Amino acid sequence: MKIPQQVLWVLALFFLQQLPAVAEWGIDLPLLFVVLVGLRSPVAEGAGWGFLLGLMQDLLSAGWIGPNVIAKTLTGILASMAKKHIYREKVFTQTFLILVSAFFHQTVVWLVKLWDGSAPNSGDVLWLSLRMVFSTALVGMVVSFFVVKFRRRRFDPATA
Amino acid sequence: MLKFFFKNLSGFFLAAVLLACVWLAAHRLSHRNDQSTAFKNLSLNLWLPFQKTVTWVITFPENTLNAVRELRNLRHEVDRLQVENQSLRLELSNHKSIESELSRLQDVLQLKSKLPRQAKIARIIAHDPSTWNSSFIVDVGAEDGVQPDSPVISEQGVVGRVLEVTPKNSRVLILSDSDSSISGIDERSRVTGIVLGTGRNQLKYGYVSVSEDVQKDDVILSSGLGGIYPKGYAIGTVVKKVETENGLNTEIEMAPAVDYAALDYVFILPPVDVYE
Repeated sequence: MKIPQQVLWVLALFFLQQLPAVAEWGIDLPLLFVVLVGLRSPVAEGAGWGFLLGLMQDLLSAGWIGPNVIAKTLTGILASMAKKHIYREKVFTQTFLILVSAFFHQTVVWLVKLWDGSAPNSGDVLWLSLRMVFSTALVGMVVSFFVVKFRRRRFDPATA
Repeated sequence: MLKFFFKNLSGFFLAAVLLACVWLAAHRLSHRNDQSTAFKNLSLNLWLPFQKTVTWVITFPENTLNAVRELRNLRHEVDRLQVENQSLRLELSNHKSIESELSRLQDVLQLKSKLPRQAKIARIIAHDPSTWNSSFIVDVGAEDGVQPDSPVISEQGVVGRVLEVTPKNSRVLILSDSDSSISGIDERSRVTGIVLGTGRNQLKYGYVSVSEDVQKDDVILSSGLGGIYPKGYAIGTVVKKVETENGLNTEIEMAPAVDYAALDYVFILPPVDVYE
């Protein structure tokens, strides 16, 4: 995907992210983007996209600027490193990687908030995190289906 | 030197990104009490006009359908009211009609005292994009007289308070956010406590000892203490009461009075010291 296309996707994601339905289910669309782009990019690019999307999310959020920036940067790095070791052009593999990345992301945010002293209590953290991890992974599974099919059709029509 | 830099550009970029993360964390340590920065406000001012348009476009079909349904219901209501009007005209000549008119005027005066003249109606245009915070943005701001820490209510009860204000918009921190708290009082037993947000669609009634009389289905109202929220507005209903391990306190779970996900419009009241 070229840079201008990626920028359009990012803008569309953030418009959708602030709708009541998405906010109520706790789906993290920017995280989905970071993971899917990170799985196809070098480490620096994955970290860059994570930093940018985390920064946008914190700027538009009620909290301080930092938790999403740090968590998404590290998640972008993790996704980029995973692409070297784990074959990814399967829906199940991608969904699993999204699930693991979401869990990692929530752990990092919780640790940052714990360090800052603004973390909710453990019961609420668990509920918030599990809701986000499973709802994002579910949406990720649907998106992965289309991404894998599109990439196969484009780069390897024989397997499409 | 330049050759070395361009050869290892991605490495330098990665190092710069990681350094920026460390700087943000260090900045937080030295500016812990700042809720917002000029950079954050500028970003909001640039972003929100687009968000407002997109939200309007996406919600337009639903709002149109609701308006059509409402018109149909209003038609039936008008027919019913016309028949009722005929019988009420007859009752006017009776002594009872004067009493019901007096009672109705008293209700209007009571409602007016709860909603001061400076109250602003505001439309919600965007929700918090982070899964860890509960807030939303409304379409009124400093130019409309909104101030930080203004209480926000709906017809169901307390929604939250204004956290940040820009010239045309405001951010409202919802009661269910884990950083929210409000002083409450049990409507039945007059037991006071602090209602705390949990980050979920659930509240906790804290700092209440075991011996206090708080029961399931009790309604908790705002007590007016704390200087932010006016008294007498519904916060929620007690759902469950559990004793803590030390046996000295109870954990009281509450269902909020307001359905935050279904909110479309809210009322922003002036700060308590302005109208009390």
